[in-house]
Amino acid sequence: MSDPLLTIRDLSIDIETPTVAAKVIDHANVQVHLGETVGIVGESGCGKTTLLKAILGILPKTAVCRSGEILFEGRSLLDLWGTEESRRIRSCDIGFIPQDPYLSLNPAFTVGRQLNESLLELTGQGAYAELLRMLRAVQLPDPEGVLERYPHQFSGGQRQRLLIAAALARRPKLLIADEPTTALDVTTQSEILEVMRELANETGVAMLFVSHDLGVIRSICDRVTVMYAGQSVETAPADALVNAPKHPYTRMLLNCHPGRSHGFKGIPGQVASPLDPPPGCRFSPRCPIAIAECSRRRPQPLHPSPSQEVSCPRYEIDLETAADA
Amino acid sequence: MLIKDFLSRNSAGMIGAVLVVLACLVGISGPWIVPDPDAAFQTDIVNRLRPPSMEAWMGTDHLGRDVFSRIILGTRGALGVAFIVVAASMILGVTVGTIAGYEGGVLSAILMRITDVFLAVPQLILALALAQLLKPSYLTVVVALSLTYWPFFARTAYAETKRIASGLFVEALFSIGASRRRILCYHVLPNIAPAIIVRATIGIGFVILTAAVLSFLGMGAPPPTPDWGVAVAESRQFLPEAWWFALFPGIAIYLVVLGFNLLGDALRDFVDPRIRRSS
Amino acid sequence: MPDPIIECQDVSVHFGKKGVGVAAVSEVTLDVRENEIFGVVGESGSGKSTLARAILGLQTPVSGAISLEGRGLDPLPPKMARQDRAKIQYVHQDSGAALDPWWSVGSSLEEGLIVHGVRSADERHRRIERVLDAVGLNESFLDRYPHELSGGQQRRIGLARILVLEPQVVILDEPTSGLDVSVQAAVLNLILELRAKLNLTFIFISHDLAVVHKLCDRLAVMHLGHVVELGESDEVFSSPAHPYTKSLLDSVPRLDGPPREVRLRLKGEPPKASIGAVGCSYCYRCPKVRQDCSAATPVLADIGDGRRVACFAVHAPAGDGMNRG
Repeated sequence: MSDPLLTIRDLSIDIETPTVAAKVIDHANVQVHLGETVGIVGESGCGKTTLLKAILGILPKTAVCRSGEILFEGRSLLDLWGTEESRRIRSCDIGFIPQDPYLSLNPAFTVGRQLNESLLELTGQGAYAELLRMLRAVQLPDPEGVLERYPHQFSGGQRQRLLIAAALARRPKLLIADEPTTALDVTTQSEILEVMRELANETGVAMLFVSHDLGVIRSICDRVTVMYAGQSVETAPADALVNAPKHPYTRMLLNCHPGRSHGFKGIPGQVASPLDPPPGCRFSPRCPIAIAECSRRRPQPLHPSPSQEVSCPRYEIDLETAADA
Repeated sequence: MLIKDFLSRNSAGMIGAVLVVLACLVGISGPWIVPDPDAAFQTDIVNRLRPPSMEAWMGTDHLGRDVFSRIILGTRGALGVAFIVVAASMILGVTVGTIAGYEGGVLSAILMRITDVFLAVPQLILALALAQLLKPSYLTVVVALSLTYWPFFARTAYAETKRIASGLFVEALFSIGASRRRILCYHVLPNIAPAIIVRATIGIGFVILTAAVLSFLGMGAPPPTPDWGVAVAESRQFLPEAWWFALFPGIAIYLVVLGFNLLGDALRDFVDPRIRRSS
Repeated sequence: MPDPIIECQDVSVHFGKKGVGVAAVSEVTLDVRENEIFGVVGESGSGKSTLARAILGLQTPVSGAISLEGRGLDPLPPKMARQDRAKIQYVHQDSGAALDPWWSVGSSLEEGLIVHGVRSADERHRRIERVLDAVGLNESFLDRYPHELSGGQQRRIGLARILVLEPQVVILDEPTSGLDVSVQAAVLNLILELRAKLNLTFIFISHDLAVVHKLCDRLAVMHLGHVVELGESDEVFSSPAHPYTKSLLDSVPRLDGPPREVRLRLKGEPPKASIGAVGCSYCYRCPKVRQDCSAATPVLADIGDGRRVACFAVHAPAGDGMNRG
């Protein structure tokens, strides 16, 4: 496999509150290779938003990086924070698609003016032509007409298409999508996912796709990293992850899906608070196969196969039998 | 807990709170803490316009009365007027505002247009006109200021009620069959209370100032009642020689108004995020 | 077959005037049987919430009849309609926001009983105690305030608040939206449990098809104000008859089965459901569209086994000539 485009290695981030530091990210690892779509999946409080903010350089001032690094094409983004170079990387090499397309557009201006302005600044002439090309690629009818209209004249799905086109028109190397379909209806979601899949194939852009929905992740991603309470617990090819999950959390999470089990299954207990996280593996208090060792030391990543990584020494133990015993 | 939280977070608010508490204490205990009650009222021409000294800390006025004593005794009047005015306008304004905000329709339109009419008339001029019609007294000041100040409460209550009434919990109450009166009194009113309290706190400072202006213009308390505004008015002829006669009542007005404004501003900052966090 | 507890006959709800207005609900006919969980699914703008409001009496239909246990419900002004229909209660999507932030949970629960004229304080406490126990919470929650509850607890309190009123029919509006998948199971299991324990009938409004499939006995699929398909949920999910139902089910990202299959994609943006519009609401993007689809509106007709579908192509497959609508 080629050199990774984006490497997040051993990253820990605290967000300081007046009284204590919230340990929001704890030794997380994520890698994105050229042309690859990587999913980050996790429930509320898993740290996916903070992770994206760290890559985009938009962490609040109270955030402190405790360990690790974020490498983009081999250069440390954390070291570049605040420099002109990091601004260039973030605006040219990394594209961003937000969760709520409505909030990212200024209702007072036409979309053409907003999209064009940011593009012209970056790539000069030819930007307009490229934007039109991308608008056609995302299957918005009448691209020239589209640019004359105001944000409220579009439906949610159309706005998301607009922002995808705008993000890709800069020809970024990496596209970061933060729950881009969560606010959309299921039929619109499938259209948007289709468009993103096609464009990723066509342009060869690498994607980091964040979602809480394993079904969505599976339908668009090559590889997936599962996060729990700030720790990356498992990384695997998408199909391997949904068909043969290793980490107990991943297994239990998949069992929560209505199609996967008899009746409705949940995960007992509550997500660990970043203010007072349990030591060692943060899932250990809710884990049916945890042993004393789990809450003593953070488990080291193991490799059941070359493409899989799981941070649990007991991933081979069956959950059901352990629960019965 | 809440109070401690509030004060530790906001030093300007702390100063405001101290000033307000001090003013209230002085206002309540005025007649008992004043150094020499007689000196506040008895004319003593021999000792008129004496500069500050050990006997009269803030000097004496044009009739030889002790300025310090008169400031202390004037506190109760100033605060009393302000509290009554704010309470009266609050009751009227909040009633009108919440009803208009909750009911909507023609009633709301009529109530709010009436409010607008009162808002459109310059406050001081309406107060002056009213004060001219009636005899100069505290009551005149109270009536005049209440009539001009209630629309501010009505506006605030109206906007807040509209916001609360569109909230999900009001709809939920309606759908379990709660009566209109129940929703208004038990749910809408407590929820708009923070905004109203903030408005009232700032309003008290504002009313003290306006009342002083009215007194200054001769519409307020009749002599020989100790009054800060009257004192500033009377002192004009003796400036700049008798600076203490104007300065100290002026400082008293300034400090109390400042106190209420600081406290009100801090309350507003404090109340807003708390509501946002809990929702 | 159990008796219908709620029947809607040709119910229409319009907003605004003819020509410029919107037909939020158009001639909906359905029946909800005693002690079942009846699903109403559809995308945003399909009219499912408006239908719920019409059943509750919060929205007065322009035409049609609604009956509860065979008793016709008069179209009264909302205030009186709610008193008349106290046996039908509604749980908001965001139960946290449906609680007054200044009131403790206990006072909020008690208030409903006071409103409903339960004078004895002992009786009120007894009922609250019983319901709290039924929703799996204890009395320590009575002193808490809404913002001190977790998402799952808020849903429970939202349910408890309605259950103290001892309704027969409970309308649940997206009760799991915004909840993590590991938490929603508890809420869904609670619904199943309450149905058995308190002999309740639920109308379950949702866009989460996987949950509806497993939870609901029967369901109605809505599209732009029309019910396009109605039937046993297992059958509708295993063999959807209406083209819209098919594409809706195909749009759901799946965890199992072949990944990234080429699926039937929905094209175009839905039009506005204008009042008095003629033709099938789905004909603008239906893959099976024929000439008669835009000439008349298909009615919901029985196709056997209690399954009802509103589609000319299903009623009279191509070649049959005349349609029965």
